[in-house]
Amino acid sequence: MTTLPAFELVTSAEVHAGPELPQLPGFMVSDFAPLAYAAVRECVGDARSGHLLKGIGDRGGIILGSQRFDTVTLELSVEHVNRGRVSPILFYQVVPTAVLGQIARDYRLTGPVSCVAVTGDARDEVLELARLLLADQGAEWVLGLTVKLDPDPAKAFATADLVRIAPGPADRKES
Amino acid sequence: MTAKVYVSGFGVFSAFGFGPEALFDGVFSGSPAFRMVTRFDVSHCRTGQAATYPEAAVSPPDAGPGLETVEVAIACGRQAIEMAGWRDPAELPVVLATKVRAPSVEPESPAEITERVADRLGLGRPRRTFVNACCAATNAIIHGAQLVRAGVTDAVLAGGAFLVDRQAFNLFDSAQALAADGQLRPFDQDRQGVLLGDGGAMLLLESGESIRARAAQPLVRLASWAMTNDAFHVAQPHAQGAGVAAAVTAALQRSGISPDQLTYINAHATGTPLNDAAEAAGLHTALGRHTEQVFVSGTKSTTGHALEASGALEAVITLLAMRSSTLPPTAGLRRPDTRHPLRHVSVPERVEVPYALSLNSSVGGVNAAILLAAA
Repeated sequence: MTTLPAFELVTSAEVHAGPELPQLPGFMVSDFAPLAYAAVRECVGDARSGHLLKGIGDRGGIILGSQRFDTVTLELSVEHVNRGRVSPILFYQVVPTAVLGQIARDYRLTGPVSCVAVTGDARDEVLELARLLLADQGAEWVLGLTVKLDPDPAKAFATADLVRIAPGPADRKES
Repeated sequence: MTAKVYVSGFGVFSAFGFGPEALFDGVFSGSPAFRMVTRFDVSHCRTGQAATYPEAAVSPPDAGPGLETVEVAIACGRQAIEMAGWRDPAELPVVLATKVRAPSVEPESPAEITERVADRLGLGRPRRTFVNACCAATNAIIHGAQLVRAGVTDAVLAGGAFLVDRQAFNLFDSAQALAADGQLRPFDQDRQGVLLGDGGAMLLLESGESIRARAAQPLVRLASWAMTNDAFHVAQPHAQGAGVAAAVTAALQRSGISPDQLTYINAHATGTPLNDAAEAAGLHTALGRHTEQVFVSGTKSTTGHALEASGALEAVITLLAMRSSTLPPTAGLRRPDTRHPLRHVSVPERVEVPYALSLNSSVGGVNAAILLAAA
């Protein structure tokens, strides 16, 4: 069996929930989406200023990994359904791809977007998927994200890793 | 060195029942499977219609009382393994698309569902779980194909399973996305929205070398695939279908197929005003003047929308179209939308299909395309 080629970890970030976590318009009920977005901003820079994803476009993919995703919004949607009155905004807020759509829009990323559920280490799994996506030439850069919510909101966190195909000898000489 | 990827077996489930015969009889005759939902209360919703299987008529092998998503995936997986004649399931990784639910209604996490399916079938590793909404099963198939093409494995089981449940139904109802008239009419001027449907399919994807070594017969070749994002809006598709166009264009280019070689497209076609218009516009951008030659149908008009599993169900429908040289119609299409005209299949048509696309899109601007070629 084949061993997949190596990739280069360009930069990483980890952000935690708390009073300083910026809100994300449209995602007001849970820290899940704000954590994912803040991790991206911490990792690659603010979308409105100079950032590492500028000009990447369709060469950039996003993979989000989590065990249970946005359990806060999901549980809220259950409460709404049980009450017989569901807020329409929950329709998209419970979907894991929604925040990725916002990240893709703000950073102009038009490549593949995936969400993967895990039982173990989400970061390891996301990076393994990134390795395969890069090997398949589905993208040249991958933004790998993980989000972990916790019953204690202060323990919730997100990670972001920007990876790319490992530069060959010629690329290394130039840099 | 990259391997060619083939489909050597599949298992399928829909509101029409288990197996390809039931699916073919229903979808390819254009018979909608919608009926009144009885598994939970829908009296307060815009519609009570969904394509749910008649519980008394369907009993998959070794299913317990009440059909569950896991049982659907297991039954489809077993069908696929048997059809392919694959001997040792322990050699097969699995990639499953499934739903994400609150722990209070679904104690088992999505990846634990995959583990249970894999354990029951005796499958190997890796075991992966995609949950990117309506593109999840297409993504699962694409990921499985990537594993085979990269040489990570000789074969893999990939697909998805979904049963209409109270949570999904109520969320779609709250967004006024369900068709109040109880009809899912893709690309029709009078379309009112989507209807949900039970569905599942598992495909055994296998390298050409493995198929030759086993002296097995491939069903179709998975020629190429592509995923894109609209980079436009969290919940709405790009009005001109930019992401759809990019996915179709990339899938064709990667396979070396030109638009004039494409015969059939199984569209995402949810019957919602925004989605169908965007998809039709995207097809025009990608196919140009060849758009009027390519047959298009929206088979959710008969099966309903199986959400996370829809890409696998529709890949199998596309495969059946190629194998039978019969195109499934879009049911209920009476007044086609004229803004971006397509060559609709309104009645079953006998056509040779050397190349066909299956398309899906989801919330967050995600688009996925897989291109099947005759084996």
